Amino acid sequence: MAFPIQAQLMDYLVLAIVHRGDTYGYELTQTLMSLINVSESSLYPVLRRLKAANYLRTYDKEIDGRNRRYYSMTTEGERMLVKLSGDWQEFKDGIDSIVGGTV
Amino acid sequence: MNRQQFMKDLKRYLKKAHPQDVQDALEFYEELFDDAGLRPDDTVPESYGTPKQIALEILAEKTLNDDPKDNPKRMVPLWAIFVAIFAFPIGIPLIIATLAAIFALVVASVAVAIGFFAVAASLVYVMFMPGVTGAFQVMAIGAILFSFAIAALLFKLVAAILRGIWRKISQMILDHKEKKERASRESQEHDPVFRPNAQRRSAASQPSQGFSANHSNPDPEYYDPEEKWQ
Repeated sequence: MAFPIQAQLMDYLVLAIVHRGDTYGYELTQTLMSLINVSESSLYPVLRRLKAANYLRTYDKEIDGRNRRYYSMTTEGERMLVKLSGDWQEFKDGIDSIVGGTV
Repeated sequence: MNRQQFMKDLKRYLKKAHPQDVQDALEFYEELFDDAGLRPDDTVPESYGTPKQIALEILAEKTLNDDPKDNPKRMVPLWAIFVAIFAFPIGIPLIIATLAAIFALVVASVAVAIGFFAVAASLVYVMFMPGVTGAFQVMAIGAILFSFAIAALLFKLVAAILRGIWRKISQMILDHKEKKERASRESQEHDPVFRPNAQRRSAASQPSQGFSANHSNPDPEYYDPEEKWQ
């Protein structure tokens, strides 16, 4: 039993992770994959889109003689995260009241 | 498929993508594989997707991204076109005249320099002619040195002028290139349009992506938005 994770939800998750602290590709995949059923293949398009939309920015840092690209939040990204968390709460409350029989 | 082949295929499938997109994607996967400890001969797990699938997603987004970048090119203001047309009959002769003046200056300087060299050479000849006295010989040596100095100075001047012009031209070419690159980079970074569609399509086509039912009761550490985000 699995609910598909759609683009908006992926954006929400990635923004939430980056919000907690700047991070890089591999760490992001590990965090996501340890908690939900997504694959590495789904991350790059999300990062690309979030960067294109100016929700995330990148900077490079040299680690052990090679380059690592870090992702960090922009002001627009923070704003989007607040909006998405509101949307998620609304969605979750709706689902909960239906399955919980409170309607 | 091993890592090496994966990267090669990805590059091949991205042949038509924007060079910056190709570089970004290749760097992203190289870094991811490095971090995952995957060596060039190691097999890339299926969860990474196929190079073709990755490339198609990038190309699908790119066709949308291309539009705002092309806009500034098409939006050359009308007045600029008029100015360009009217400036053409004046501008071209002006450029030719400037180039001709520089050329004339260079040729004249070289000619004068050669003249001074000739004077110096002839004085050397005159100095050793019979009947030339010691006093005149000393004067001739002075004149020779003077002529050489003037000639050398002129040559240096010409060289400096030519070098200056060359530097100016190459700087102009470099600036133009850089401006173009910066423009393409900026249009990528500041594209404010948010497009969930491309990802939604690909996410839907991958049934393996889903999240389990226990997440309807999420870990507050991870999800609670009130506490962490506001």
